[in-house]
Amino acid sequence: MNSIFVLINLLFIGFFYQFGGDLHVSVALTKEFTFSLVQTPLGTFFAYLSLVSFLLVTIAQKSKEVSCNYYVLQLILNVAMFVIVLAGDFITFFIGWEIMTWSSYFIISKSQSIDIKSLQKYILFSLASAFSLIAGMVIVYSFTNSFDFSVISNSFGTIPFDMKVTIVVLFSLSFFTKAGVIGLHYWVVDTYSKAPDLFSSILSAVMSKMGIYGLLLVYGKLIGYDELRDMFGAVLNGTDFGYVLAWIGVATSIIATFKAITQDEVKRLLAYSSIAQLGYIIAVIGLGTSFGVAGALYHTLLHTVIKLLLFINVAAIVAQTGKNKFSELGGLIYRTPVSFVMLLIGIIALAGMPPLAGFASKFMIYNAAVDTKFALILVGMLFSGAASFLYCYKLVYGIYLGHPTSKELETQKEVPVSYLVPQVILSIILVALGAFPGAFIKVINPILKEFSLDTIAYDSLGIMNSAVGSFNGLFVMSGFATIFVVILLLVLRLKSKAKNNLNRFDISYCGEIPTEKTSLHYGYGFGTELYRIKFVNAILKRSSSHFYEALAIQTKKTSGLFSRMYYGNIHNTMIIILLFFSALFFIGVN
Amino acid sequence: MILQIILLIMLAYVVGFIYYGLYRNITARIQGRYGPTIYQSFYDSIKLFSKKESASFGWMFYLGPIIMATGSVLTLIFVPLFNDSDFLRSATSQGNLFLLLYLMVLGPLGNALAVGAGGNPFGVMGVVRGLTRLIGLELPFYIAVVGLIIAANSSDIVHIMDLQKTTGMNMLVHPFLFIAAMISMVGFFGASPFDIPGAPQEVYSGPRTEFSGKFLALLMSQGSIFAFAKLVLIVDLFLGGADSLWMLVLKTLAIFVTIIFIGIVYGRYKLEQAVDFLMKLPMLIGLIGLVRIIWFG
Repeated sequence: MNSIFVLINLLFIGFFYQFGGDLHVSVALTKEFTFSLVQTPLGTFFAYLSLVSFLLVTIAQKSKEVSCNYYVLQLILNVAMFVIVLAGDFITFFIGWEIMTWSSYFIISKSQSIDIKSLQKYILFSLASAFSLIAGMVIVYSFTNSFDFSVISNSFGTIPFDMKVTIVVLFSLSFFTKAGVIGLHYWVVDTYSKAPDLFSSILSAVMSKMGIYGLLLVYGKLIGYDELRDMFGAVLNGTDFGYVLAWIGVATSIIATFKAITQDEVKRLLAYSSIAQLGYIIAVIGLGTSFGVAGALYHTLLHTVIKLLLFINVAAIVAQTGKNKFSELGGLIYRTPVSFVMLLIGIIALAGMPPLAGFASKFMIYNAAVDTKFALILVGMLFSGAASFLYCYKLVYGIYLGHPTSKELETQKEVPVSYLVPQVILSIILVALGAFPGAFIKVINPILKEFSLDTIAYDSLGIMNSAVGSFNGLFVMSGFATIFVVILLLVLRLKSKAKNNLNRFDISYCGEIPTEKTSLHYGYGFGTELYRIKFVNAILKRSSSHFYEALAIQTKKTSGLFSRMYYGNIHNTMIIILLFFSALFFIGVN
Repeated sequence: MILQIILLIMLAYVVGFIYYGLYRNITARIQGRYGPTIYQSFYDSIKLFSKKESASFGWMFYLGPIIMATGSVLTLIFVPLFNDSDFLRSATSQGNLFLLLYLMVLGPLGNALAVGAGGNPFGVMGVVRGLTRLIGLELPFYIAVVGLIIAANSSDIVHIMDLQKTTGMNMLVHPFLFIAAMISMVGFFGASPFDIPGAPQEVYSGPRTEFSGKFLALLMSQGSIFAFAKLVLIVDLFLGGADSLWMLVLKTLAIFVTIIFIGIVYGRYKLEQAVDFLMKLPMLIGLIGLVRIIWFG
C-alpha cells in the first residue's frame, strides 16, 4: 500500500513538473466567488517544497503501522497545501487553509500518544488563526470588492490607514500562529511531540512554512514592502515595521533556543528548535530588502530539509527502540552508524556550520541585518545561534553518544532501509547546497522580481553573494575535505597505533571502576546548568502556559457570570437585557 | 597556494608552541616557580606523537580530533596574515568574517563528538560547560565583531584591515568594542577566570580526559595553531594588521601577554558566575561601543 501512495505522490510531482510552468485554473463557485489557481514563482517554490517533503515522508512510512485512511488524509493534506500556495484569490486560499487544518487534525488524532488536551489546543489555535485570517479577508473585501490577489495588490493603497494597520495585524496574527511565534506557540510543542512520529516532520517542515508563505504573500505581494515603509516609517536603513518584526523574531529564537536545551523528550527539543529557526525567518521577513526576502526563503528551504531529516531520523529511532527521551537513550552510535551519520549531517547544518548548507542561509540572514544596520538584531541572532550549539549537541549526544542507558539498547540493529532512504536523499541535498550555495540564487531571483525587489548578483554555483561580502562554498567544502583527508592520512601513517578493543568501561572515573549499574550517560543532566544562570533562568521559568491557563480560568469565570445571570433570577436577567439594549439604542442615536 | 598553506601551518605551529611555552614559563615565574623551558611543549608533542599505543573508543573517537584539527587549519587559512601582501590572499578572499566565526566552532564540535564517543561523563560535563560558557563568551565578542562589520559596512576582513590605514587602529577608534572583545578572548584562550570547562580539580581535565598518545598530541598541535589564528584575527580586526612578520609577532605577543597577565591574576569563576559576569559588564561595554557606531558613527 505504501508503494501505491509513493507512486501517487511521484505522479503528482511529475504532473506538476510537466503541466506546471504557467498554470492558470479558474472555476466559478458562485456569481462572485471563484476557485482559482495561479502559478507564481513564489507559489511554485513552496509547492515543490511541500510535494517533495510529502513524497519523502511517504517513502519512510511503513504501511504496517498505519491504516489506509491515514494515507488518504495525508494525500488530502498534500493537495490542500498545494491549493494554498497556488491560490489566486483569498477564497481558494481559505478553502485550502481549512482543509489543511481539518485533515491534519484527524491525522494527529490518530497518534498513540495524543491526549484530548493537546488536540484541543491544536484545533483552538488553528481556528483562531483561521478566524483572524477570515476577518482580515473580509475587511480587505469590504474596501476592494474583490478577493482576487492581483486586484487587491493594485488597490490596497486606497484603504484608510487605520484599516490597513488592522489588516496587517490580523494577517500577521493568523500566520504567526501557524509559524509558532513565541506567545502564540502554545500549541506547537505539544502537537509536534505527540503527533505520529513521522507526521511531526510534516508539521514542522511543511505546515509551519504555510505561515511563512502567508506572510510573504501578504507583506511582499498584496501590501508590498514599499507600502509598508510608507505606512510605518523608517528607522536606520530599514523600516519601523521590519524592526518590530525583527525583534519579535529574535525574541522567538532566543527564548525557544533556551527552552529547547532543557527538554528531555527528543521531539519536544526538535519542536522548540523548529520555533527558534522560524524565529530567524520572521526576523528578516519584514525587512523588505532583497537579502531579507532571500534569507527568509533560503532558510525556509534549509529548515524544511533539516527538520525532515531530523524528525525522520528520530522517528526511526523511536520506532526501533520504543524510547523517546534523552534520559532513556544513548550509546547507539555503533549499533546504528548510518543513522548517526545522517543525524550528524543534520545537526551540523542546523547549527549553521560552514561546510554544509546551513551556513549559507544564516549568512544571507546576517547580511540582511547588516544591510539595514540592525546591529542589535544581528547580535541577538548570533547569540541564539551560539546557544543552539548546545541543543544540537544534546541531540546527537543524548541519542547516539555516551553510554547505553539500558540493556536493550546494546543489542539494537540499524533502522529499516525505508527510513534511511529519505534521510540519505536529504543529506545529499545538504552537502550539495553546502558546496553550491549559489545555486539557490537562481531560484530566488524570479521571486524577488515578483516582489519588485532588486535581484542578487550571480557569479557561479559555488559563490554566495550579498551586499556586504561573499563566500565560496565550493572552496570551503573542498578545503575542508582536502585538509581532513591529509590529516587523516598523516595520523594513520604514524607509527603509533590506536588501541581499539577498549571496553566502554575503560575510562578514567576518579580511580574507581564503573560497572553496569553506574550511571555514565549525561543525557538527563544536560542543560540543568542553564537554570543557575540568572538571565537564562529568568527566561526558562516563564511560560506562556501560565498566561493561557489564566485566560482559560477568566473565561470560565466570565461565562459563569453570564450563566448565573440567566439561571439565577429571570426578572433580573430581563432587566439587564433591557438596560443593555436601551444603552445600545442611546449610543446608536447619539 | 598549497606551498603557502603548508608554510603558514608550520609558522602557526612553531609560533603557537613557543607562545604556549612562554605562557607556562611566565605563569611559573609569577607564581615563584622556575617553570619548564620554552620548548617543553615541543618535546611533549614529539613524545606523544611517537607513543606506541593510543587508546581509542571507536571511529568517532578517532575522527573527532582530526575534525578539530581540520577546523583549526581551515580557520587559519581564512585569516589574512599581512597588510598589502599577496600571501594567501586568494584564499582569504573566498571567505568573510561570518564564515570565520562559524569555522571557529567547527573544531570544538569535532572535539565534542569525540568526547561523547569516548563516553567519559566528566569529559561530556566539560564539553557542556564549555558550550554553556560559549553562550556568555560569544556575546561580547559578537557585539564587537558586529560593531566592526556595521562600521565598515562589510564583512570582508581585508576591507576592515584596509580601513584602519586611514582611520587608525580600531583599538583606538572603537575602544569599547576592543575591551569587550579582549574579555571574550581571555575566555577563548581558556585562561582564568573563564577556565571552568577544563578545570582539573572539578572535572578531571574536562574534554581532554580520555585522550592519550597521538590523539592528545594532535589536540595540542591544533590548539597552538588555533591560538595563533585567533591572535592574528584580533590583530587584523583591532590592531590594524601587520606589515611584516616581526610586527605580527610583536603585536600577537602583546595581546597574548595581556591575556596571560589577566588570567594569572584571577581565580576561577563557577560556570554560572562566568556567564552572569559576561552578560553584565563586558556586554554593557560592548553595547556602548555599538550604540556609538550606530547613532554617532
